[in-house]
Amino acid sequence: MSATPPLDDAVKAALVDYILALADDETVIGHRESEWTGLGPILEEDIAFSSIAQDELGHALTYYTLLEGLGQGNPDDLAFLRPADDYRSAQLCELPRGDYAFSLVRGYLYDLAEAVRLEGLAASTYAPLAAAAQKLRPEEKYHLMHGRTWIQRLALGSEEAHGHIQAALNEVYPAAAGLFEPTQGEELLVAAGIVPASADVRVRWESLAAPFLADLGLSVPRGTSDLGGRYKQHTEHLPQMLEAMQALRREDPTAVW
Amino acid sequence: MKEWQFNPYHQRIDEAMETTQTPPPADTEWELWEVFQQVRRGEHHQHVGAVHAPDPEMALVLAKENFVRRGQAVNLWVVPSSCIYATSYEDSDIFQQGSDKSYREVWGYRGFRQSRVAKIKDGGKDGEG
Repeated sequence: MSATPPLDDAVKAALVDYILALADDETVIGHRESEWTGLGPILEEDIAFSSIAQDELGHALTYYTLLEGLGQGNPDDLAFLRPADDYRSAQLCELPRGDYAFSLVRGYLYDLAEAVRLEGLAASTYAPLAAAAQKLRPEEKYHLMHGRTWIQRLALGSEEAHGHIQAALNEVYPAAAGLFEPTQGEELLVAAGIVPASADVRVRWESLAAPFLADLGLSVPRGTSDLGGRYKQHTEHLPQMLEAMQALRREDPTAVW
Repeated sequence: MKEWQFNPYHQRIDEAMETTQTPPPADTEWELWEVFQQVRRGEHHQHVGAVHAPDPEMALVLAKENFVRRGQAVNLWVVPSSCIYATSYEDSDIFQQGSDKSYREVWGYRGFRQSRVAKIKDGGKDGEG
């Protein structure tokens, strides 16, 4: 182990909550994005988007593995055996995949939030988290290229395409606030230099997202919706999703993969 | 035994069937781009396949994930397939070797076949060539 000083109990509990929120975000949005596999608009994009979904699940594994190091059990159990009312993911992630514009816009806003957060986490005073963040950052850069490229073309394309992107934005942008809802005890982590303040991450996120979208002739909605995910409050969509996602694992938890 | 219920997947099969009932008109097909991948700086770009895309930026975005989601690269090129000039397969006899061309190979020279380098390369088996 590296020379990370031991965490006191309150900080450790807050850190577990924080990392669990990130891990659950990745699991839930990764699974939602994987629902496009086989149904993508063209073959090449089907493969690209499925691969991005796999990346998000890989990020989830990275975070669950950190939690294992903090004594929270193994990653498979964390992802596949916890019920919806123990998940800390933002409600944004669990919304059904909608049309392709919805999934693209959600993916872009989510990836941008993740990229901004990772920027801060890469400098975390908790060495394992800093190391994980540095490893994940390059993948987010590609995810953002992918999202921007698609959204630009659709928003500047036909009236119909523009309309789909705007409709998605109207729903997704306020709901993205859930990603920045501070977890329990976040202020302890911020004070210790372990994580960036979610409020600051949100300000930076908005300063990047809003001008990009406005330049495409889109109107950026105001407001905040769909909070509560960090405190285990979810829509009916999450239990439905987890029922499908966890069915096999629950059927035989001892099965070897 | 529990009855299996993979609802989302069944639902997706229905959706896929619906989608295939109305094939898009042929003229919506995007341009084809040939993809070249460079594994390390200084090496040649190697042709690895092709993607459909409406423009070069999108071609690069799709090529990255279709060809380098595993493996390694430092750079990608995309080139419109329509820019490739090719010989005709009917003329493929032009590539046939009509006579012994071994003199064009280093291997063709007796001096090389007997050299230390050749013996090391062949594990010392190529004694008399």
